[in-house]
Amino acid sequence: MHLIPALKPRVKDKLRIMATTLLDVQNLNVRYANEAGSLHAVRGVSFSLHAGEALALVGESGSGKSATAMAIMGLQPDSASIEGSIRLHGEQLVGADDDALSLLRGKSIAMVFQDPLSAMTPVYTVGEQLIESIQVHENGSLSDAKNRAVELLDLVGIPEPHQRINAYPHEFSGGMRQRVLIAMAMANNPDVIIADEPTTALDVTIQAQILDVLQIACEQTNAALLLITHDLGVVARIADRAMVMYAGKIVEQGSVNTVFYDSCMPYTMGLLGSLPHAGNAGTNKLSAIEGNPPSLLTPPTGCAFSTRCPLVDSTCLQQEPSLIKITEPDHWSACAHHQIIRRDSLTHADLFQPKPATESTAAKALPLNPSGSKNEKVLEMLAVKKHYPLFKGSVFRRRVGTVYAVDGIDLTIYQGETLGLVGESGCGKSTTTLSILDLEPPTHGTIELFGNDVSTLDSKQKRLALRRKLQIVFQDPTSSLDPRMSVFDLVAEPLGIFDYNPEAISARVNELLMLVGLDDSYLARFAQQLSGGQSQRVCIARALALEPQLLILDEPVSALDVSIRAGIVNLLQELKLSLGLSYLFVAHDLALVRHIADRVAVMYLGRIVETGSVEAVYENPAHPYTQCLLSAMPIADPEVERNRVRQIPLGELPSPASPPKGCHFHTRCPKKSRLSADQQQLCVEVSPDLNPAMPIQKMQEQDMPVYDNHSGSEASYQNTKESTSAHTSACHYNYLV
Amino acid sequence: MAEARLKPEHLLLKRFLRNKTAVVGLIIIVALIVIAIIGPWLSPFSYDAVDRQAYLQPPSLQHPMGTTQSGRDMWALTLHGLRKSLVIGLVVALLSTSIAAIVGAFAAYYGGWLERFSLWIIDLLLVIPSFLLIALIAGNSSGGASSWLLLVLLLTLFGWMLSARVVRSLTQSVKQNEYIAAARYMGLSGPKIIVRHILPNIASLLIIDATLNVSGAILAETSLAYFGFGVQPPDTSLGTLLGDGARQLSSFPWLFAGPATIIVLLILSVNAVGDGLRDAFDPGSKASGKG
Repeated sequence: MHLIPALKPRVKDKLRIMATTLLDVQNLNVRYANEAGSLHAVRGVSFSLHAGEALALVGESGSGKSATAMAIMGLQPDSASIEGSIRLHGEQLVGADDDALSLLRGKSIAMVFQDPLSAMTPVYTVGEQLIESIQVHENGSLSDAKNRAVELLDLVGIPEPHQRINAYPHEFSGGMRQRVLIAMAMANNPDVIIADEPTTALDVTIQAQILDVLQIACEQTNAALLLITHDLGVVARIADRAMVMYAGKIVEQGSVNTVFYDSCMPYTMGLLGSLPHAGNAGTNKLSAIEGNPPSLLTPPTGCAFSTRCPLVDSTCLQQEPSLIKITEPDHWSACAHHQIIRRDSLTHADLFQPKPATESTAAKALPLNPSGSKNEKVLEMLAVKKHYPLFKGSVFRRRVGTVYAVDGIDLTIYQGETLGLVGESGCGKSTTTLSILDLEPPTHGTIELFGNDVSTLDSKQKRLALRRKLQIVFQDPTSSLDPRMSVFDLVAEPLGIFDYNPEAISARVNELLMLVGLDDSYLARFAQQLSGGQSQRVCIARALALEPQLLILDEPVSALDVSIRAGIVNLLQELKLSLGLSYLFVAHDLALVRHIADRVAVMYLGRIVETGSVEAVYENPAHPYTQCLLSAMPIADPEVERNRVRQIPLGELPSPASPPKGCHFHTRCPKKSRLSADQQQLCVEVSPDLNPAMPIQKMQEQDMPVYDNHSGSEASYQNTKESTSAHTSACHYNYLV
Repeated sequence: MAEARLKPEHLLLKRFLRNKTAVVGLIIIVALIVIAIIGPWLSPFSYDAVDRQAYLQPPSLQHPMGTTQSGRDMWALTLHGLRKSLVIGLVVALLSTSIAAIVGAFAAYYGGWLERFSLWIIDLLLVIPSFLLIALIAGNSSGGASSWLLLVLLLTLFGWMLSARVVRSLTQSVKQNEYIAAARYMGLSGPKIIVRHILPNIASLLIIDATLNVSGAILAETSLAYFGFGVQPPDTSLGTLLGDGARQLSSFPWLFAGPATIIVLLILSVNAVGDGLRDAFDPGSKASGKG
């Protein structure tokens, strides 16, 4: 990897210019005019960005963080009005016309957008777009620009940049495209790179790679980074300083360590505390921040967080607290009670005590599910394969290949149990859930639900009877509620299908809303009038309407804001206990799965590579893929993040239409390089079965069942199948550390 | 926060009312419909009555819009023609939008052979020269009081295909929403999902489409009538009146002026309302934003 020659001297100067202020934002106000009035999205934000630093702007959706970034870039919509001052190198950007800003954009300020899929023009090659971004600001020759583009692609880790420069965006995966976008942002050695949720659309292993690339980009160009994100793990990993935004204002600001360890703003403390982490994995409840952020159509008179704050008193309601310097050199916080918090050194545990897991409303509202023995299997999938044919041509359709979406998996869920299904996007998680819900026989193998083989379902009645025991909660609550229906109609709909009478429906809907923590004032509302968390509660109520036994939760909180997530997770935990539900919890958030699941199955390219109890898999991950996933998982703790040794899988997920032969993971396996040539041969040729993840002696010591060690025979397969709670891993070299 | 948000209907109304052209259009349409309904009482003459004292008379106090060659009162004829044209326009729009909604939504929801077959029919009907065919069939029919019904059916038959294609593509995108999957996994049947979840969510398109189909049908009938293939005498429509009047335009302009003014007013208004509705339904359109 060679450096861009022009950059070398600047890197040396890094320390000297560290103290200079590049970007200075003073009293920035952004208002959007819309139907309901004027939305005051950013309310008096001031900060400065110094050369060479990485500043994170943290906040939930609607907190004004993206509006701030757009105002800096001058890319706000026409309906926005901007007041205040934004100075870059002392030059005023507010009020500058678009032509003047165009000279700066890309040259002095560059932006990396959230969605790499839509941030490139599909009809031009990656190289053409990269060369364009170079030539816009430099009058070099085409060949110079091309060489530079190849260099940049190399720098951001695109393999074979000479060839790949001629590829079109659709030939690149999401992670690769984000690399290209970072290369574009670097192209003109900008002074400031603004990254707006650069890794939110990406998988956790790719996210780890991209964050590395972003750091390289900043080092190479010596640019200051303004990182906009909602993910505190990412902040801990990459930022030097952090600003927390809430309701259009900065409520806390300081070095990352101060903000994470010595916060004196209840909102920041609540956010940090509401994340599931190894520390609270055992306890049942997360400490949730109650309520929702205020609407910015009518600016709050008191502290914007007062409705959700446990420390609230009359002083909070009188006037909005301003940002006050708490400690030198640079810790600012906007809370009327910062002195109390500092004096008593309050932590989030003091403020947001999780309510004890009482059998509160839930238990009163509904009797326990009658069927209840713990050993009853609610779902059993044996050697299930789901293959999709790939066709080409419109008139004479011919089969050109097969997508091995699910390629032989076994899953069992017992009554009252939560199974976490983890994996990157494209690994077959969704196909697995859909093949369960479709109630159709799979391509191969059997699916048994509540003891009924789905291939024996011959009549509509039988299918419908099974359907009501099995429900799903989707990822995106707004898309899973029909916008034309009221909350009552939405929750009542499944009841109507099964011929409940009107009074029973009405009573049941009230009961269900109470169960999920909504009162009956919500009955007449429409989906647009609900916040994300409330929508997801309605979805859960709807799924529970028919008293199902198995609930499939397909990433139920990943579309929600951090402060809302904890409430939904707590609700799900509560419902599981009081209603005796079983969950299939599909997620890519490993920390969350650890918190909520009893057992976990890790999926890679249509196969399960490791399964076992949550403790076993998280404490002693045996499969290299699981190890990679766990090591890529961001942790909201700056010290931990800085000192972690990462094991990141190489490259990207292969296409499920042509999975690698032998072990599917061998193309990306970090363990493989440590093996001898003969050992590697086995990985490439033979596909490993799920085998005990621990040496036999150790298992005997721990009084665990022992199986015939990896022979791939039918006998070992049968054995593995029998005891689903054992910790197994599909690697030839499980015992090799 | 939820209280501050507007209900969807209020938002629509607010956006629609902001578009002054559309509001004026709506007022004109309502006025024309009212005039058409109470038409028989607005004129002392029936549309088929013959005044033997007045053949081809220019506008006078007795006949405010003059009389025709056969001594019929132009005012009464225009009122009757307006009524017929409106009925044709509304019925054709309703029928063809319904067909389009059903065919398009079912084809997209079920996919497979049903979709291919529907698309095949749509393409077939699109390549047939519909004007010629309607002219031939309507022209050769026996005539009589119900001849306009045949015309309505023919106009419907050849008027739904483009809308059906749009409905199909919209259904395909609505189908991606998870609430459709949720309804399916609740045990709701396909047709019920279409009626309960898909059609209401493309209602905005259907309403706009129906509005614009009204003017399309009126114009189609007018051009057929102009060539003599429309509503057959003694019944009349605006198109028939126009066709008759155009032949003697330079010498007896009142035969043409009345119906022409009315039809231009009607079509302009319907289109203005259609545009206003489209802007109101589409949040990305110019009408939203500042206000």
